[in-house]
Amino acid sequence: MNLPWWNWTSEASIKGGIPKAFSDEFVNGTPNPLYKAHILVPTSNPPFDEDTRRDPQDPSDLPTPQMIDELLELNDFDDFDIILENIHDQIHGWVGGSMGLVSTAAYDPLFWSHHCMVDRLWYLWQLRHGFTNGMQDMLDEVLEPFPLKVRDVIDIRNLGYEYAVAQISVSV
Amino acid sequence: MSKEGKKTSKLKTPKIYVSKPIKINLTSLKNKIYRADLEIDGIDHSGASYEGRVFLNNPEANQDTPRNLKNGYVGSIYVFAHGGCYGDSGHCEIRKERRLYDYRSSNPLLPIKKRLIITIALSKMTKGTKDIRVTIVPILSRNLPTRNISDFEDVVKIDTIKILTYA
Repeated sequence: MNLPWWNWTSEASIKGGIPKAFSDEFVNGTPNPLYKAHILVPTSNPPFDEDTRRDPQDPSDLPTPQMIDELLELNDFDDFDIILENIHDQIHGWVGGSMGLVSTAAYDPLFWSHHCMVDRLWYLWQLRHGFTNGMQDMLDEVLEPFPLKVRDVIDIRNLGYEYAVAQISVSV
Repeated sequence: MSKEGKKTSKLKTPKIYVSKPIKINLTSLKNKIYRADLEIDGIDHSGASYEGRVFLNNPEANQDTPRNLKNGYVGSIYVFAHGGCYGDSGHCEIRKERRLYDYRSSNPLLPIKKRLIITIALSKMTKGTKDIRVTIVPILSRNLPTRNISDFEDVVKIDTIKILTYA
């Protein structure tokens, strides 16, 4: 299984916002499953029974590559954590609609590529500053509802995946 | 625009938060500070999500104020909130107590902290200034599922604001 990350700092995103793979309602005449999903939670109060929706802001308000460079340069884990969280929150608010609330965000297919980007930035920071740097006090925190602790998942290479650090291409 | 979008656009403009003056003696720290942070702690995130545009010494700032240093803008905090409670009575009550050796994650509704690094802004803006007032202008996220959110007008709820300088 592959999960693509949505690089919100890319030129394409800063010009066009949400990637077309997610924003096109139809693909070859067929409804695009990445455009929306259905929220059905009959046990919530009141019950949820609606499609996800988005209402994105101006693409020029997305984080810039410079902001990410500055983020990755931070030495202190607490700084990195709090500023990455702010950028993460910014994207949820920028997309708006269902992505704009904790209760509904994960129903939007875009959520997963957004979080993949956050996970990737976390990995890139770890490569520069160490995998457990600043996290010693948290290593034994239990990750409910899973039978795992932080130390079990702190290095994604042990989970069987990793991210390309850079991409270089040449014409042949 | 969708039905929900119309509902959102009819909401009243949320209240702007202006802090009491924070006393700081920058003159004595001149050329010694290598970093300054603005920390906002105890932020409630149970209701609507918003961008909080942070201005220093501009109590008149509002939703239309351009975001530049000339107007005191030092950055934005983004609050990704829960949108109200969808459970039964008591479902979202925050239980603060944790037993010794309880390593489970803390309650997800505990208030959060945000930090802006304002070193350059502070050194440029406050020459001779000893009192700093912090203004937070909330901009609500668009088209949120609104039905369980009751307190749109009073969305900025915080406990403390600190300015930390490192010399």
